[in-house]
Amino acid sequence: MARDDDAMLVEACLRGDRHAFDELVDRYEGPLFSAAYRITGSVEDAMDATQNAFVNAYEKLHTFDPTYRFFSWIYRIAINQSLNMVSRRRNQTTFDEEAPAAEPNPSEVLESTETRGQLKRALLELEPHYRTVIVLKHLEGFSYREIGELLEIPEKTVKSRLFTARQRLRVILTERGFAP
Amino acid sequence: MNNDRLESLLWARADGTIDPQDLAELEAHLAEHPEPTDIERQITVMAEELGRLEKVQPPSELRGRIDNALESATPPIAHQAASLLARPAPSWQARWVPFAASLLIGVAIGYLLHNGANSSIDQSVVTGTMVTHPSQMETGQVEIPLDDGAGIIIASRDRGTVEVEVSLITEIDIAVTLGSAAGPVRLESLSTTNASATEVTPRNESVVVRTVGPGTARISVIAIDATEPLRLQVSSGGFTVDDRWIGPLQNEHEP
Repeated sequence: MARDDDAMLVEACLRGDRHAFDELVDRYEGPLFSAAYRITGSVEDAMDATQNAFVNAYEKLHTFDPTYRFFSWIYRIAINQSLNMVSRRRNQTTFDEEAPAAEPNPSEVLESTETRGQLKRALLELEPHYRTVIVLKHLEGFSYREIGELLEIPEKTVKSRLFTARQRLRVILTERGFAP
Repeated sequence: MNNDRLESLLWARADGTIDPQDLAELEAHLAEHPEPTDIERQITVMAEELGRLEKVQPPSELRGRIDNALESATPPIAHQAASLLARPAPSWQARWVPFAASLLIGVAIGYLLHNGANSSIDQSVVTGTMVTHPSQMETGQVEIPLDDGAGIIIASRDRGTVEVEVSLITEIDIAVTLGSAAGPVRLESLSTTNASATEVTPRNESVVVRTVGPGTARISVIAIDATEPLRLQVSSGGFTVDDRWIGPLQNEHEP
């Protein structure tokens, strides 16, 4: 996504062009919802987190620093919103399977549905801050540095947090009989 | 090689971030132990499956909800369109114009009160007004409490040195930027109770400290020009929490 385009849309919005923000919603609704869903494990919470992220970003657009990427900024807001949702519903860890995959691939689904299902359920048993680094690394493919910027934590903390997250994930899977 | 080390190297290889030395160590280990262990098999499958996690499509009603929420949202403040960070700081001379005006007015009032009404005005009040003037600059100690009792940031300045203490009670991410519009700044010292979660980025005209609570981080930054105000910016979770200028304490006996 063109960074300059985003900056122009933000500028237009700050000049009073409300529709410029609609274009930003068009661009980032999908990625934000997808990450929010993987973090919260609930379609409803992911929708709330995505909606809140856009509203907060719109109302505080004047605090956005244009030397950074708009996507990183709003993505960070969405992650914080998702983590807030999780902490509000701490005891609710059921995984909602209703959200449709972006590009369903029947053969792939059949290939390792069981393992992937185990993995998704195990992911939701992780502490939210561990789950978040795994989502950012594996779902979105962010680098350590990018994850550090998104979560506002040092890169070395990202590495150690990711290591612990994967280790705990493996332990949970092992307890569930995961033995490839 | 213990299991933690093996696990760490296997993930680094799966991520494509392993460096040549570590890769050589891993390959040597695997050559010595050709039979894959449970850990190796598990990590191989986990890496593949995590890489295949699908992105999910938002439900169609989400867009309508967002649009409705935006309709009733408060529009951003247009006059602050230029970012505080991107906005060029006013020149030192320009900042002193209002100071000088305040001083002149203060002296004039003092003169009139002293001579016209036969009462006195403490000269330090006039000096204090000048030093603590405007909107953008404070001196001495500044305290910035964080919302919900998450912690407090205390900054104090004496001449060119600014000391900032970030005390966090909860697991909050905080970024503190100390910068100058006029010249270089230098990191003098850093101490923290949470070294693994604190990162300092020294730049020419600013120092950025990112830290995660709970814990305390203390930094000391020196401005090469001791007379220049320094800018203290605090952000968390993508939002600006605080943004202010801190000036040097000025001894009223100094010129």
